[in-house]
Amino acid sequence: MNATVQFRIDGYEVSALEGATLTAALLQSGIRGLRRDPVSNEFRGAFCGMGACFECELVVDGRTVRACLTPVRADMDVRTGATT
Amino acid sequence: MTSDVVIVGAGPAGLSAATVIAENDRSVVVIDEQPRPGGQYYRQQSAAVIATHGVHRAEGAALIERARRAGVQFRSGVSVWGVDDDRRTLLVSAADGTSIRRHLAPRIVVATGATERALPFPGWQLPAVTTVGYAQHLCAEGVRVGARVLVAGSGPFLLSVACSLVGVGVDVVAVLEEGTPYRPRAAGWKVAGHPQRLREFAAYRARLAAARVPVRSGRRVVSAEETADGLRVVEGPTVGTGRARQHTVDALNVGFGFRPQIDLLRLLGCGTRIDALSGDEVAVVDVDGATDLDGVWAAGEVTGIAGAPSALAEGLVVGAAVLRSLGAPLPEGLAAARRDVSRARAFASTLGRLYPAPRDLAALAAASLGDDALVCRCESVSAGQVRAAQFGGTDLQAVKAATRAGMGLCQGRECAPAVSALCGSPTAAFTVRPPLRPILLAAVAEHAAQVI
Repeated sequence: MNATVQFRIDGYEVSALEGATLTAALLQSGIRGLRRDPVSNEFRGAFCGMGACFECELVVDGRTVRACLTPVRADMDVRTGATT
Repeated sequence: MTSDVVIVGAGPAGLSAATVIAENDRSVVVIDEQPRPGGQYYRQQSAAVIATHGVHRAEGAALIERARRAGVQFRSGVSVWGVDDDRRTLLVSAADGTSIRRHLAPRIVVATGATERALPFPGWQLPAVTTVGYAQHLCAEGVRVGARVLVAGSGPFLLSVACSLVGVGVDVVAVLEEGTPYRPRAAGWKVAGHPQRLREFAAYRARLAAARVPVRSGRRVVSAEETADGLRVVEGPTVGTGRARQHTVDALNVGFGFRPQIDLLRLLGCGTRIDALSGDEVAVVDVDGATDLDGVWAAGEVTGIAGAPSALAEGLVVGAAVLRSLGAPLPEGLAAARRDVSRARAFASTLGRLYPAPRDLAALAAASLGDDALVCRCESVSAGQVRAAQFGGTDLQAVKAATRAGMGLCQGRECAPAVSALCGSPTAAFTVRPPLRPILLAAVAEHAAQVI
């Protein structure tokens, strides 16, 4: 079994180890800015990495999730830059 | 779904309590928000990540396996966001706020652990700034938070994380410690009574020295800003006037110790107190970990920060108390666990005295902030807005109502130390109200339809 899976970040095909933390996979693709702050419109990224701060919120398959609590799955569709 | 006991939190304390209860033939459900059991200290990776990068903290994996064999039922990826009026029914959802359910818990063990204390400085909200804990999680997955990294804040955890970073090949430009804990002083001699911990500390220092990572005491981050070359961080002295230095790095990892995560205990209505040394709010418990609410126990960091060894031992003590309430005989190892708890707490207290008190760190952070610096990340509230909202008084809830600081998605977990320091009430806490985690209105409506 191949432990690497393919999925999409903002429409681009990327690969990562299955079940890796999504924030880690995003960082390996060079992406730190994950959501936009509704007041300043500035990018925010993973800060606490344990589900407490909500700065890593983004949209996976149409649902807003904390990326740091989300394991990578094959074919997931990840969208960054949402205003949450 | 019912069980004899519901434990909230699958970290060292929760795992330890769950295992002893299940091994004595009582049914246990462990609810935890993370995708896999282990909490933060025993955080476990997926099979594919382990196959590539190895097991992180094998003793944690072994404890989880032992719990499973004993029949502990894990409900991972589940958030507790509320408590019903009976104070026995937990309101839970999936971690994304969907699938709302009620979970009747005749006996509850709260082992919700701690979060890292965050303190603001200009630029702390930039995506290249993260906690040290997150940087260490990335190391455990074989991922570098950056090629060049600065580590700053206060506490022994900074050294541990810096070593993890070195271990995955990160160029750690420096570790900045706000206090001066490594100077010889009277309190330092007490550490000699804990030789194993002393060896751990010596190993960290040796590893950093070998990697030529400078550890500079009495230094702190002044500001961080994004530039075309990377994150530009200015460091300066903690007190007085001293030379400023600039670093250009990929990431800045900050940490100021840990705060007990007691929101669920407060929602249950359990008694809390202010810990004298840290100034943090902790659960009031007796020697068995029982809270003042019948049928509710607390174990681990929620009773005061003392680290994983204490949490493991407290889990066993609480597990034994829960078993006694269920008419089961006392498990083995109870006396040793009680000794381990008092020893770990003594060490935590000794260590705490070597580093600056959290309330002093928060007061310094607050006093150093310019009016335009961001304090509340969720609602983008600046230090100036908090200062202007005080109307000559220092009521934290009034400031929250006037500015929205502490009202956002994180429920004030990140900004509380700084906002309370800015208000001059370092031990004041934001009120706790459900939902503790965001839930979808559609999920509430769906649940209501099922109940009616």
